[in-house]
Amino acid sequence: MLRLAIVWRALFGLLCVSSVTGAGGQSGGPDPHSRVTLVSEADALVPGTTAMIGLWFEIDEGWHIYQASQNDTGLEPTVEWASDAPLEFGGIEWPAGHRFTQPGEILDHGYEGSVLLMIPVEVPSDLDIGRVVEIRADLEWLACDAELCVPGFAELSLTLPVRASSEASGDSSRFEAARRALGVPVRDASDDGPAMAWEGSTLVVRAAGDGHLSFVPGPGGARVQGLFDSGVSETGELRLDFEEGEAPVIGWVRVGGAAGAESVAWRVRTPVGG
Amino acid sequence: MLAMTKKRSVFGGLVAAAAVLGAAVAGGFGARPAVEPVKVGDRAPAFSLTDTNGERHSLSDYEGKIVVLEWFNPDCPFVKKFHYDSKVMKETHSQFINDEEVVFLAINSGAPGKQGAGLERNQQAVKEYKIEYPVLLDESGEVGKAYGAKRTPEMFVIDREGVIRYHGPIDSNRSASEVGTNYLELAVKQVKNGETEIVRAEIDVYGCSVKYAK
Repeated sequence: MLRLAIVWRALFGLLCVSSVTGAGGQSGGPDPHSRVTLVSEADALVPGTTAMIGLWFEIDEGWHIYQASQNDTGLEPTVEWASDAPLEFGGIEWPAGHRFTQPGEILDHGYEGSVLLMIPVEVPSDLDIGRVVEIRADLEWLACDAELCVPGFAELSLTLPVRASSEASGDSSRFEAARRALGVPVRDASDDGPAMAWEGSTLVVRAAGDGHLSFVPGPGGARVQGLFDSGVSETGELRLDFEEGEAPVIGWVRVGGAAGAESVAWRVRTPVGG
Repeated sequence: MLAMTKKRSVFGGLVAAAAVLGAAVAGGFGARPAVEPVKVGDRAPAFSLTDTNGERHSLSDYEGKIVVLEWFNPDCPFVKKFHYDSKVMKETHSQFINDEEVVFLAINSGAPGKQGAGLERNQQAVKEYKIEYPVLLDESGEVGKAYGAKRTPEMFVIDREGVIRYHGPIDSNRSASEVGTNYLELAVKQVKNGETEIVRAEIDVYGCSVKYAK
């Protein structure tokens, strides 16, 4: 596999890897209008537990990065992990994104402003207390505004001590917010959340509020047909036609959010057809 | 917390010349409503567009040939991946450059003033990227919408009978920097061999959005 990222970096003469406890560094290519750092929820790794680390993106106004979703264009952040300890890195826990549309019925989902993409890390129980562990991330992502797209590349580094117990790091509040952004599970119609019912392979979603509803597909879920039109509603009702198959419905129903108001994301995971 | 970025603009020198070149999607044979994109197995929508040298190209000019259509925007990083950062498109085209049966055409459906659009920018790009096949301008976006092209690059391979046999990405790696398996090359070779069960790309088309007007 051709490693053109290396060419980019050499071409632009840039490599800056920081290594400071509880934080990360960044190298970049052409300005991706977004900056990323590697952060940890706790100030130490505790053997035999699951630590949570995260990629903290700060995105210029008017620009967005991509969520792994049913997107027409773009590229969600991808990362290769490395460490001098036998850590096991999980996948990115994607928070609910927002719809971004362009002429030509082009629909994408992503984030603007700032977002923390969390990654669980299994810490082996036999890791020596007192040692220091380095975590490195080789990262690629894409940032776009209404006109342009710019790829971002970064090599990030984070060092954490191994201790018998840990305290919250200075970034822990971002993790609390990121967990809220994962959405509240929709269980049944008795919840405060949207009511859902199946008509064949069509999921009918109804919710109160200002009538503004949208469906944001998550990664690996069944595809929604005609999502550009069917994925958003101003009437308080969504009708989503899912492709039938093995994949379940994975995604979020966003309730509210008309005219820039706050919206609430409800997490949906259910087989197609109920 | 340390963070360093080095600001560079890949898109410096962007020229948005508003070249008004004719674009037409022919009705009748092969025409479909613009909102319903074509699928593999459908007849390729007819078109007639002008290239950066002022020459007109109609799909019907290439009747009986295998036509490779590449949706193009010279300033999209995913297009640069194949035309500038690597030589994938040059190498793929060069395999068929002496094959009179295979025709490559790039189409830019970017609207005037949009990124990578316009006659002047595309004339520059043909030289800069050393593209040896025509780059057609579709500034109204009619042809792009008839094909349902949403991304750059986005590939269609049309067989000798005018039927779309491949619609997908160039390669298997959804990265702006790393190149994977060349699906396009496989597809063209299969279509040349008269096969109708063409390689199925294991990933969706990926790339920048086509910069349509509205």
